[in-house]
Amino acid sequence: MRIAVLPAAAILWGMAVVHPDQAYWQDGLLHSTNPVKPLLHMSELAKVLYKNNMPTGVLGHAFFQGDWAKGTFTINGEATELELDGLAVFTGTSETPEPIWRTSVVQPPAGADRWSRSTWAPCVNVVSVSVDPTTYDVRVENVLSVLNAGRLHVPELVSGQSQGGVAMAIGYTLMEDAKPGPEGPADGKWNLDQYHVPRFSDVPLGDQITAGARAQELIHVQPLLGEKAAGRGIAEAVMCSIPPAIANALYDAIGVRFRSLPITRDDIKKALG
Amino acid sequence: MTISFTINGASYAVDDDQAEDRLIDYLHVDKGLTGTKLCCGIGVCRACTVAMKRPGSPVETPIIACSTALGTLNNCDIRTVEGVAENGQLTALQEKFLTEFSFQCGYCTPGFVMAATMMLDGLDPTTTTVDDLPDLINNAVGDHICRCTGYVRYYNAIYQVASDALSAAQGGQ
Repeated sequence: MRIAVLPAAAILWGMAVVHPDQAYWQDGLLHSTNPVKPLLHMSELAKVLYKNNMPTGVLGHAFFQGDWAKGTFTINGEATELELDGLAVFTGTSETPEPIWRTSVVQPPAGADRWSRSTWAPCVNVVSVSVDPTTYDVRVENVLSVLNAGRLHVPELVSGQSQGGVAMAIGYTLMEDAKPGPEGPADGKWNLDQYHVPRFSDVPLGDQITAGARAQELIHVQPLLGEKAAGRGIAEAVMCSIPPAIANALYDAIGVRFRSLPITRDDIKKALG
Repeated sequence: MTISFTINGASYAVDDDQAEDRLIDYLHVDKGLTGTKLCCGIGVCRACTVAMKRPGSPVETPIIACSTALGTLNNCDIRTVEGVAENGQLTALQEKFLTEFSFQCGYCTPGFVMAATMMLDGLDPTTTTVDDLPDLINNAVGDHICRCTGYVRYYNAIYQVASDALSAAQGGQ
């Protein structure tokens, strides 16, 4: 609003500046608190933004540890506090974001790292898949996991836990399906013949990604400066980003976006027509 | 009529009226051999895999104890996970599963131990190379299910023991 919508509205309404309390959205239209001003549709605002090379996209970075980091940014000449610690805008049709440097930042309370972030282990996953156009089977070919587990006390256990997360997430994404209610496991008769989980043969078994072979490779982020000796519990952290990574890989493979889980053989069949 | 078989080298006979009892229940309840694990109970997960040698057969074959009736085992030799180590000495595979941290909760482990042990026992160093190992391992344990540690560390352990066995038999070539 402050970065793009209100400045564009100011031009259309012939005002020097429109403050946030002078405008509001209702029924898809931007209203001014001054009833004389015309209602504005997003398409009119967008035209002005593109024509004047004004912001058309925003990138923000947020950091949460018990509370949000709060950055102050100068937006259209006004110091503005946002729950962001980094901000950049795209202007006009440019594909390169330009930073709006923050002028100050208030970090989350120092004590919060004792209970929130100390056991937080983020993990990035990159996944490749292949799709069989006749059987509609999806096979996970490679998984690259980049994990911040902090200080590793038993690296073998961390990798096993990570690989277990990969296997479980492959099942969660592509195999494990249960209807709610009496049509599903509630009938008391379900077992592993109906609820399919990944077997040994369903997952990549190598631990180094090489051309022509299937593997799941784990890269550890080096402990950060000041990382405490206790380490972090990874639990099922590695699982979280596997489903979206598989869905993205499927989009790359067959050009169809899947937005609900599991992505079954029937879904693939339907998507491929 | 009785049904006779051996379990880990010891001879047993049960009455005919136990013919329809499941092997897993006999192991657990009658013999106190609880190392073999019951999981799905319908022969899918392979946790309850044990080794069985038919009369006259030179080799063991994997069977699923949850879905095997005692009546089918007359004159067969059964080996369970309790019968793998000799004189308390773990096999190379068992050692490797431990040092590789191949498992966490261990519920699927007896099944993996039995199936992989049979694969290793059947390795023929005159006809097998390390290039054959991925397929052989997959044939042996490809259907097994592990729910906590994934499978990579099992695979690495079995592969290493198998390739060590091959290179020892082939004179370290």
